[in-house]
Amino acid sequence: MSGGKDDMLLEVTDLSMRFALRSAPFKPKRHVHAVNGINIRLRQGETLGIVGESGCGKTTLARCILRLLEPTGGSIKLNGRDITHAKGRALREARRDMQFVFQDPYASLDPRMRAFELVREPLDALTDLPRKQADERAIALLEKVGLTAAQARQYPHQFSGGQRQRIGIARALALNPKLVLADEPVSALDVSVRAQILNLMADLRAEFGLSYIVISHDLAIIEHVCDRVAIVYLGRIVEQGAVETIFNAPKHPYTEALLAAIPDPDPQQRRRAADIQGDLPNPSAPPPGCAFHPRCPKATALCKQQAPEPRMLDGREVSCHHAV
Amino acid sequence: MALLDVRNLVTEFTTPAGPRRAVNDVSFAVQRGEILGLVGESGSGKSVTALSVMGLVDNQVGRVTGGNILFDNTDLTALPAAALRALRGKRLSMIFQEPLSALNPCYTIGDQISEAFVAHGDSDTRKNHQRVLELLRLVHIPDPEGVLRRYPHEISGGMRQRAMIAMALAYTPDLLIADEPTTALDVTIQAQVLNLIDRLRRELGLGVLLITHDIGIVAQYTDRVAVMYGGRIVETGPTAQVFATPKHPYTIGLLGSVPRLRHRKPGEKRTRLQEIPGSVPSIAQVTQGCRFAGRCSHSMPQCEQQMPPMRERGPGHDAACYWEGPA
Ligand SMILES: Nc1ncnc2c1ncn2[C@@H]1O[C@H](COP(=O)(O)OP(=O)(O)OP(=O)(O)O)[C@@H](O)[C@H]1O
Ligand SMILES: Nc1ncnc2c1ncn2[C@@H]1O[C@H](COP(=O)(O)OP(=O)(O)OP(=O)(O)O)[C@@H](O)[C@H]1O
Ligand SMILES: [Mg+2]
Ligand SMILES: [Mg+2]
Repeated sequence: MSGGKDDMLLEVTDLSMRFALRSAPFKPKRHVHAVNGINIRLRQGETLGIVGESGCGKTTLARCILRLLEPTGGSIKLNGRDITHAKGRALREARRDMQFVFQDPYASLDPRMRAFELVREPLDALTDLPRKQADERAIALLEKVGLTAAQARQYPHQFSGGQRQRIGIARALALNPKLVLADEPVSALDVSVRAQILNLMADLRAEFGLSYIVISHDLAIIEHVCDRVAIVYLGRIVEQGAVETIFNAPKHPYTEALLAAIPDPDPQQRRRAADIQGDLPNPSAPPPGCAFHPRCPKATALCKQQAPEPRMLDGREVSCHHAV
Repeated sequence: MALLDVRNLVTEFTTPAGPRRAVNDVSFAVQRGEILGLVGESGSGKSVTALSVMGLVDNQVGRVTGGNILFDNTDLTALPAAALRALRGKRLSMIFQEPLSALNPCYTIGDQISEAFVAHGDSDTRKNHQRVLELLRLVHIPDPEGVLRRYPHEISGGMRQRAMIAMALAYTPDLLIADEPTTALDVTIQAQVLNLIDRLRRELGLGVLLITHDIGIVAQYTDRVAVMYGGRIVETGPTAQVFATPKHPYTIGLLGSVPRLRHRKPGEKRTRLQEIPGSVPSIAQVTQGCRFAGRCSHSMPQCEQQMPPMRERGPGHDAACYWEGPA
């Protein structure tokens, strides 16, 4: 498992994605730099968690990796092959190996198709499995994520939010992908089903050597399923490393704030997170220097002028002038 | 007098096998200035309960067929559609579970929030524009001027969720139903939004029905909690009590499967999360008895035969279960 460069599944280097914004007439054109110089390495069988501010660019990053978007800078290599600007057949091949579980399950499922048809669709599109076998495989996958054969014949609107998310997961697994990008895969599920899905994801990983990139706001979930974690703030990774290293001793003030804001599941410990000071940054006009400085308790003059470069500190990569 | 008093609510959907109950004999109350948490298995009927109260069950496929919904002493089930529309969005508002499907993709965020005012006869465009900006600031949306002009697909999931919250607060409602309001937000922003709702509760006496899967949120923000399973409320009581001494085996399983940050040591093996085996029965399956019986490790013969009634297990703490609890 360890070592060799050949088990490197995904290499994302200096990736950027800029969106142009419609602006009022006669005003200069504005941009949102949704992803800004991101570096990620993922080995076969490894699981990376991505955590961060809402709107910091997590979904955009995932969409770039899946090449649903064409990045405006940097490169993406899957299995050693550069797919940054891949088109046609090369792109279809890359997409077979990567699947996406969407954040908003309802909006991503075709309302006119039954659950098993939704799961069968990628099989029809990218394999030549006969109809009957494809149907069986689809139903087996739905059962694997905890839906019944009878439910497999229902339409998306006849399911609850969490049940729809399970259809999305079954659909992502249909093609035996190497990499699954899961955008908030379990946030719509109650904790007991959540446990089932997370255990299922762990089993599939052990069984097929699947790799995951899991985007989640729930740090306990990240701790449970991920080997490494990347904390993102305004399009940049501010801290990255092994989950244990970072959660046990966070070095970036934003990571510290996140860990402190988790609501405690014990009502005897009523401890409301204090509101973080300062306004959220405007992604189309990011603050100068370190993007976190307007909300950072440790900010100094240096932070307002100069963006910190990533550096290694105590076994993790962190971008903060004052991390010690 | 409770602000919202739901009694024996039944909501049915048409299925190929005939009408089936998604919400079955549900009763609960929300007082002014109180946050009631509603938790439960996905598919247990939480959203349908909320939509029933709002009068928003799609009447092509389902309807409220029983019970009463008393809002400030008015029975909403007996109210003409126009009167209900006048309440909705003004005194009674809801944050929907899936922002992308609740927002219209063809209108900008600004237009959709202003529409909340226009629908109630406030059509001063300049004034509405100002109010919309204020609302967006209230929910901590960065660059509100810019976001106004964007379409739902041009903003992030968390921003869409905050836009929905802003819309629900367009008029200060008496009752706010929040269906998973913060799932797309990072925990620091989640805390800001929940602290905002909590402040409105304290200062303006807002009553809140908070639907969530996040047990931490229930623990920190709710006064009382109701646990749903298979279309029914199976346990309800003061949050601290229910968490300390859960009585229904489903509640026990639910609280037991909460993933907690354990601060794993380097190299320490990951533990498996505790699960409740099996899955929630589909509403198409009709049973006489307790819907949890098939998954319950304490089930007895009578559980299969008759639905256990709600029984008091402590002050204000009720559970629908025959099992007496661990000896
Ligand atoms: N198609 C688009 N056009 C313009 N701006 C966009 C577009 N898609 C995303 N953005 C902007 O890019 C930024 C990053 O969005 P993204 O959806 O990646 O955030 P996110 O980290 O997934 O947030 P969340 O946790 O809320 O889902 C946001 O400021 C968003 O408004
Ligand atoms: N339009 C419909 N037609 C038929 N059945 C429906 C319809 N809408 C919902 N249901 C069913 O009603 C039940 C309750 O659904 P509801 O959306 O209230 O669940 P929920 O408790 O909100 O779940 P979640 O936590 O996953 O959002 C589910 O079994 C669902 O399949
Ligand atoms: Mg997102
Ligand atoms: Mg729901």
